[in-house]
Amino acid sequence: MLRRINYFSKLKSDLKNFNSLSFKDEKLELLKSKKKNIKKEYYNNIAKLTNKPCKLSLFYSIFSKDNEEINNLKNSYKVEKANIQNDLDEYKKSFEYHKQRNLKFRSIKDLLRGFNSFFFAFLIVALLVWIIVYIFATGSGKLTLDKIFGNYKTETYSLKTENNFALSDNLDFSDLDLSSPNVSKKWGVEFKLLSVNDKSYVAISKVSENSPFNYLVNINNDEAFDRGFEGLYISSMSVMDSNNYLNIIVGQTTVENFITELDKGVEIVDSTFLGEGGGFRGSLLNTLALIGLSLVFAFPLGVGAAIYLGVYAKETKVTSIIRSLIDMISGVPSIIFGLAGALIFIPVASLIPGTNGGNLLSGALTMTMILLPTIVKTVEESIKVIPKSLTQASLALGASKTETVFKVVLPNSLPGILTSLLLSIGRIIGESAALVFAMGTTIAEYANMNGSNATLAVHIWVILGGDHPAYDNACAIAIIIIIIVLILTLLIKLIAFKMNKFKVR
Amino acid sequence: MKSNNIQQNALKKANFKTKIDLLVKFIFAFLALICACVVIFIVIFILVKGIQPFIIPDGSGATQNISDFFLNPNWLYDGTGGMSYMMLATIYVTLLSLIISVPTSIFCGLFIVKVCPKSIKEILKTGVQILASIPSVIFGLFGMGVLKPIVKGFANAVGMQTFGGSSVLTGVLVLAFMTIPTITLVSITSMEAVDINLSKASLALGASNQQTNYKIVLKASQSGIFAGTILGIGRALGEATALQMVIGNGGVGWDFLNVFNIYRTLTTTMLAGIGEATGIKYDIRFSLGIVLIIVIVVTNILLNLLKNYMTRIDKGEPKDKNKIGIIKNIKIYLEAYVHAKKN
Repeated sequence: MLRRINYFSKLKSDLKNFNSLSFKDEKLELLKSKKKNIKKEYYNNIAKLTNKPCKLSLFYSIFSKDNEEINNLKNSYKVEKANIQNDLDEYKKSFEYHKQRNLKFRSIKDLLRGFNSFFFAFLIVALLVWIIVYIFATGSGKLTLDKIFGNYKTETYSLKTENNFALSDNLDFSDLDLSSPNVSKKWGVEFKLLSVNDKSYVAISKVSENSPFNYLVNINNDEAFDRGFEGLYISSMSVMDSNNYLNIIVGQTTVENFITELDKGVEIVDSTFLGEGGGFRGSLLNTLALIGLSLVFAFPLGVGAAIYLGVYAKETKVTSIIRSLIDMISGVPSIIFGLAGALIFIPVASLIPGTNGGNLLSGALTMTMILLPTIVKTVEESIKVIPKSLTQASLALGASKTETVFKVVLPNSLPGILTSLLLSIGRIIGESAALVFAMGTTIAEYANMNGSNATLAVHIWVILGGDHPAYDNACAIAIIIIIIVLILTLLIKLIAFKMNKFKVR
Repeated sequence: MKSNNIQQNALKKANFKTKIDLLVKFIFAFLALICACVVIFIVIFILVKGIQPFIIPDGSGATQNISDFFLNPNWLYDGTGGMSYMMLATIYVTLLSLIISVPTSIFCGLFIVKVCPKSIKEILKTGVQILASIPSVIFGLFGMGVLKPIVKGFANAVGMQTFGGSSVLTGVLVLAFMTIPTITLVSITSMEAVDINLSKASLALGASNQQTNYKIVLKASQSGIFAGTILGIGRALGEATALQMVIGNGGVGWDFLNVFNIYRTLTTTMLAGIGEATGIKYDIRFSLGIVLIIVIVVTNILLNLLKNYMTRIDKGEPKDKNKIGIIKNIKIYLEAYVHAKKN
């Protein structure tokens, strides 16, 4: 609070200085006011002489050239005016004037400069806010549990009423709100509208306990339908009425129309229920599996290399070559990793019987290459920070070098290891180009090793690649990614903050 | 007897321990060696695979025509495509995006380090870090959903046609947005590292705060900003997904000079239609990979040479007379040549 007050008071004083320093050139003002005063005095004197109001007196003075007094006044005014003008011109040539002028322009320039940097900073913040707002506004409607844990492929159910079905008239549907226009009193079902891909379909919202809809069976094998109607919408329904006329009702109408048509019938011969699909359970599971698998490969390799570089290696030419080679990995674009992964690791992954092309294993091995430089650098940095006295004390107490590495160096470099873990997770979640090549683009329902699998990022890329990109679904996935990335970034900051605190103590 | 035994045991243990130490050191060295070999493996494998389409016919008997590969202004996947214009377009798009991103990130970095009050500083820095960690697919999604309609509207207002908003301009904007946080973060670190005595001296000599910021701090952190720009260029040259989603993947010859046309870069061509590609349509992507690697390596070498030159000037070391001599000589030769041609 105190700091803030200080800041504002400083700002105030700055502003004061700003005004007095730059915009007021006191000497110039003085000269100018003198000039004005002389003019005023001259007018007044003429007015006194001619006994006329000020402005008229001037006209009068022009016509009365012979008046000596007026001529004297005129001449003395001219002389004084010339003197003052001379002073002014001299002053304008002087160093003082230019200094003041420069200060004035400098303050304007400074204002522009300050505004300039503020503007660009504002631009970046606005960009971040814009991206996040766009993604949340478009995707939040689609981000339901059904979507997160739902199938990607559209579900289809063909249902009909039981064999030898007869609709009885006096069934008790009192668990529904019978006064509502959305309830079919004959069938005991409450309907609602469900919008799917910008079209609205009729869907079932609630089924009464005694409704015949509880006993619908599959049209192909007469098996009972026990999935429930959540998330399903009606594509079409064929209803037989009491005169044995077949009436086909399309699901893409209003609820009232649908109910009036449905209530005419006594038996449902065929109905098609569709699930919305577009869920991303498979991609989510696959991403998690990929994270686990790549970390298993990357961490031993990366931490081992970091320990070698940080603890064992002496500063020789070979070490510096190894170090620069590892640095070079981070400059390689991800699509090149994808190409290399497709070349090197897909044949390796195909050794698993029953697989074909890229799968989780090849994806994980490719990600391992990508993660290596991050892990090596971060862990090596944190190893270098460990005070030498610690390792020397361990060695002096009789521990071997191996024991020192595993019991002193590794536990003390834990912050670095954690940071690199979080960075790696962020990288895996966001990676797309490399995985398109190395792991394939098929969106699976569950994580599997059998073949091509998409992660969340690749899923976005795939569904936006078609002719009619589904922005809302893509944004729903993007929300998950952004939230994870945000948490990871904040955690990394937290670790760094704690480390700094620890160091100061 | 007993003490002797203990001594022997201790010696044995110590021997064993030193052996294990050696073994563990060897294992760690081996792991480091594997890490170091990754880059070499990547380059060798892509080189070998990328040369194949020129020599070995694929399943349908098609090979890549070498003269077409360098001279054809049009890109086709069937073995007659040319990549030189695409390469130029890659560099062109990167340069255009830098024109937007470099000033933005420099001034933003300056604001964060020197101008804004301390309480906002950390928040702004975290914001830039979050922007840097947003994956490229989301930038592509943003480009498709937001920037494409804007560019389309802008083009219509100017009286130009775009292919539904897909254009070089959209790609440039997306790339600029992606490189801004990278450059900003590096600039921030280099500006924070500027010696405080420098700016204090400037203030003591009577310069205003902003003059100090613009003429001292920016000048002193020049090489750091340049290093950030190199990183940004690397990211822009290698970016595939986001660019592929917005740039349209079409166009022939010099089309890319008009920013409202659709065009293709090396990376987007590699990525487009990967799902259905087989035979030479798949293999030719590795040849493009070689080209991309060469472009990146060459630009990096050139930029690093420039950076070393700049840092040497920063340190106040005398300029290399030989190099200037060479440049002067070249100038003289050129003048002589022009003179000879005139007569």
